[in-house]
Amino acid sequence: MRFTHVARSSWDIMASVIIHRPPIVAPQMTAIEKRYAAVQSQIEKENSLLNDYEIKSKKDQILLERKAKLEAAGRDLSELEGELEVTNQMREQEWQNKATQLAKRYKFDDAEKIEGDVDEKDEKRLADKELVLVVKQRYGREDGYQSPWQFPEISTRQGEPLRQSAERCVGELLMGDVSIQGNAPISVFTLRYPKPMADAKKKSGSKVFFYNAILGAKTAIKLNTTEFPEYAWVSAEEFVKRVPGTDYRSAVRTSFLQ
Amino acid sequence: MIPWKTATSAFGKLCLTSSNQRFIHTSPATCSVFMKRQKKIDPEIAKTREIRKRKKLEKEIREMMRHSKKPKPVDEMALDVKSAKNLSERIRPPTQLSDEVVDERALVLKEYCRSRSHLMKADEKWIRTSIFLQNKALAELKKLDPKLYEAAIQPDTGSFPQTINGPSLSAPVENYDSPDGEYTDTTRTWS
Repeated sequence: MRFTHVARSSWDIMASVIIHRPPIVAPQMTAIEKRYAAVQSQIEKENSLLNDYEIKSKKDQILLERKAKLEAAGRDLSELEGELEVTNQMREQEWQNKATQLAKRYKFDDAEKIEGDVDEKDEKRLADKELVLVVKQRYGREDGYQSPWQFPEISTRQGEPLRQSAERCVGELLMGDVSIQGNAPISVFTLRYPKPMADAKKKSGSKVFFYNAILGAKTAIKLNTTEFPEYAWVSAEEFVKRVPGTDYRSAVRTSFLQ
Repeated sequence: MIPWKTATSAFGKLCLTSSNQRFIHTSPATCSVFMKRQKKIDPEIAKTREIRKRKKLEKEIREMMRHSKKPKPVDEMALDVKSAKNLSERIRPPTQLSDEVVDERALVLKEYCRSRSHLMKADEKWIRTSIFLQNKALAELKKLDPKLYEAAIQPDTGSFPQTINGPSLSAPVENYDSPDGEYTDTTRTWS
């Protein structure tokens, strides 16, 4: 009989945090939504009654016609005095002017804010999309190694619950109000070390447990540039292009709600 | 021999002899239907009193029924009195919709329903995948370290109640001085 020795694999446990910046501005309606909205408002208008504003518009129309007739006939306008004070058309003109003034002042449709490729480190870019924070990490190595683009991770201390490690990870990156969602991780990714590394560390690899976190108001990036030489806020499409590894992307696929 | 003895002893227990008074306990009557002293009233007066009480109760029941069973009007959907008076002025001329418009509307409705159903299926798939991945993660954690697993499955009471404000239609303006938001609530209540 031969007893084969089953090597127990041991793993490094890492906690990783997916920090979301939710969209600031609601996205535009899709094509079908716009068409449907138009059709529905038409139907609603057809089935409705006239309101006071529309009744006044009708009256204004009649009065304007009478005024034109009187002027053509050359008679004075004393009959109409008091009836044709402020027409709805004049009111609408006033409102239009005020709207253009406000738009100029507050710049509601500032395309730069919404679309502009401002700066990847600016958390206010791409206001109508959901962004996540990706970084390059050094893991405390001094040989110039940089991890590929990935979510920030940190190794757990002995006996420390995963959520606490995640909070520690957030603390190293950001200042301010970031809420981690739940005590349980949302997904796991297994990374196998290459043989020399596995022999040196005496572990077959690391298991990375992911947590979702939402960025609150009034937060600021404050990461240690030796540990995190680069960072960026990326949208879902950019994430797919930037972060390598189909298994890694597959493990975190549910962090994007599309 | 033995059964006969127990039979006699059982019979002995049923009789209320002084030696057996331990087994049965009696007490004086503590409740009665007649508590107040009954005065003799004229039966007719008593009858009228009964009838009055009955009528009063019935009236109260009717009032309650009138308010509780009626559906309450929705102010947003009701036509106000002033507008109802000149209703004849407010009727729109009926629109004649051409066949193309009717067809186009039907097609838009179908396409919209298809798009919503597609979104709903995507949402359901997302929920299923999320649950699956989380369960997988927890299973691996359990294998790795049971203590961490125990900590992870604790309910997260600190997170709730959570308020998340949805995105606005236009970008927020910095240092905007918003006007005073005071208002008086004029909703009607029926209680």
